Amino acid sequence: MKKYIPIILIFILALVLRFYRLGTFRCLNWDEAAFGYNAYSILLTGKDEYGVRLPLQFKSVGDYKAPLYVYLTVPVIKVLGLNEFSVRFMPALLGSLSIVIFYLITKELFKNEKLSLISSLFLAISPWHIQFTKAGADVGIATFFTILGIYGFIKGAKGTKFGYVLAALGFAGSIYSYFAERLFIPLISVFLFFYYRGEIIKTKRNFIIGIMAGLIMIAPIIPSLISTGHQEKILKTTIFGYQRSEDYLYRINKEDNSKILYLLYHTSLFENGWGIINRYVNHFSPSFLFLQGVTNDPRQFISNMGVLYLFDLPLILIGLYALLKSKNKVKYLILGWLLVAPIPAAITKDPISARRSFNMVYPFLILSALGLLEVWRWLKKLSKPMEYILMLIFSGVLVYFVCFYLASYYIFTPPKAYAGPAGWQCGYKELVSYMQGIKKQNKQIIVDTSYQGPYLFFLFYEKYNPADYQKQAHLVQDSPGLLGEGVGYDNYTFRPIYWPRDRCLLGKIFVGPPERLPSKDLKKGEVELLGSIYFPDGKEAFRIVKTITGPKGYCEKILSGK
Amino acid sequence: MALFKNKKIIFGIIFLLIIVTSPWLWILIRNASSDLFKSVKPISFNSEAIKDEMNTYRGKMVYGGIPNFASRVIVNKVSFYSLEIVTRYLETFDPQYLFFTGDISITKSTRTEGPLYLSLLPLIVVGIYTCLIKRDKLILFLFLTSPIPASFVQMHYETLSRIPIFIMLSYFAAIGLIELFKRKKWLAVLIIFIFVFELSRFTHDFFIHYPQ
Repeated sequence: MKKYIPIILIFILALVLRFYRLGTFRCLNWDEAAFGYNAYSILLTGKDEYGVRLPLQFKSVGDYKAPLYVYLTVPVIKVLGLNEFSVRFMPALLGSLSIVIFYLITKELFKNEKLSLISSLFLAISPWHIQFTKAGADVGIATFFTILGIYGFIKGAKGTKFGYVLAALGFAGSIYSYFAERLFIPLISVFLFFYYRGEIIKTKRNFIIGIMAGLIMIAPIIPSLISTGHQEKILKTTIFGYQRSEDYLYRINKEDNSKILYLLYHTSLFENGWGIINRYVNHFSPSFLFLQGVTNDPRQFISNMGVLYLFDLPLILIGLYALLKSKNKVKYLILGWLLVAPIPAAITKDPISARRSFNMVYPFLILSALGLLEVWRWLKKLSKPMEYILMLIFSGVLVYFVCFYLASYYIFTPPKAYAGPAGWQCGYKELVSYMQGIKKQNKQIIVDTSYQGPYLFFLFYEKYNPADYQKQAHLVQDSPGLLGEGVGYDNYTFRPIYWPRDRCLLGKIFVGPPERLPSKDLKKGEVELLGSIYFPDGKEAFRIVKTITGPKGYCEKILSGK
Repeated sequence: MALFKNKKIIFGIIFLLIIVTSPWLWILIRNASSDLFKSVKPISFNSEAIKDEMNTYRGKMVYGGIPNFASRVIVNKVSFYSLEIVTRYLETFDPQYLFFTGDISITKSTRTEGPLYLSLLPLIVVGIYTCLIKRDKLILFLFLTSPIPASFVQMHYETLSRIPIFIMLSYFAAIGLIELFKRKKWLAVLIIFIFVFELSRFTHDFFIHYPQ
């Protein structure tokens, strides 16, 4: 029992870091609201928000979400109710458990207790890992299953009877959890197959049982993988749906003035291929890894930091050198894992994505832990006082960076990430609460969709009866390549507000950001300003106004269409 | 043929070829008449912007309930300026900068190619690894110190101050090519083909699409 104490302590640390203020620290974003409400809908009706019975892909806002996260959240909502904590519970719990699995993987691979403990400690405090497991992110669920699958594969290759079945369970779970894993899992499986081909021949019976188990597990989801919805998702997310602008093509053709030059240097195939390589190597950029992270996505962003600690940089380099130098065959596994992991991110449209390249975190932290052990080995060669001094300095640096990260995570980042569909969408909770007082007295309430997904927040915070919503559910998408908006339910309408026209629709409530309801056009007597909702930094998020009369002469013209 | 039997001469030719075909050299030569050095200003250690940012962060920490002493330990001049320098140092190794887009200024980059060709990347990796294995301490020291001038330049991703690192990386690429020729000839030939294609793509871009 005594030997398990360190990993138990690391697991507790992981739990604390992930569960501390889990429900209250960040506003809910529309993906979380969608996962939560669909789980609530399944719980009460056995159907998703559109009335589809036990679906294997959730249409949601047209992004066709993977199903497992929703189904895992159902029992949590049953016990804890529909709230932010419930929605984030499973990623936080499975994220913490990932640390234990990671410990087992490194122990299995290196047979080195110190290395396993350091790796799992690094994972427990990893900004990259915390970012996606302390939130309602499907990748937080998928990552647990992915490393469970890798662990199972390793055990299977080493002769454990049900190792491959565990691998099948993990990989299938991952495929049911997150879109990017549907590419990563086949790639890592093929890689593991070649890496362990010798061992697989020796354990072929178990391997075949594992394959059969895997096929049975993923069989139900195969139809949805080839469905129109999934194709839409691929077009929305990946480079295969990307089309170059007409302006760009016109300029290139005009300047080239030659079909041959165009075919040589500017075909869509070449430029997209070049883009894939660009995005792939971007994921090894020091700026992404150690300095800035993903600056253009507030949900992935940590202010003044990369996705790894800056102290990881020298450790990773030292670890990499030590690994390459060693004769241990496992080096190919770690490097292969690292090189395969960014491929799903490389084929998507975003220049860089910490979410889709999430599987890189594990090999990087193994390298970092190897680096630390190597440094430790060098320090041991020094005189005792020198060794202690340098250890103290290194510990000080480590503690400093962790403190800086926590300050960044809890204090510096939230003001930069609270708004917008890509951010944490603050303001909706307060808005829905505010609207409860005036909802019943007004015939029509029009909510602007600038911040995207308002219908999800209203459904979520009102705990609206899913059976009633399913009858009214209707998603409007401008094109299959874009995400949609629920048009409304009861007396709510969700659509963009166009104030020059909408100010003439009298007796209605309008809710929108100040840009949609500008102060200069909210004249006393014409509208009644019922209230405002503010972002955490005090900036106005929403205005709630009621139209009374339109400007004289103006509305007659507008409404008659002259 | 005797000439090519001399490894040092072959290495020298490859190294020179890489340098003279590099995009950074062509662009800097082409725009030599414009005042390229104008934008190369050192970081000011009395920058008001950095001080402001630092004070804002400290204020936020204190407002968030962190004791003033702790906020000063976490956010201070040394940490912030060190971060500025380290940021610029590491930007030098950003693959997006080195192989895809280059300097932010159009006078120092075509913005469609980096200062070096992407085909050099595997050669650079092999070259660095070879020097590490051979424990070529001087070269590794020069490699690690060559981005230092750029680390103190105010402008991010500035190219002129990074010329030393381009030379070092070209050096590693030349070593890498020779090593690869010894071990995997087909791969070396393939990389040369890609390099020639990239060179032609760059010249096409340089003479046709790059603003005159």
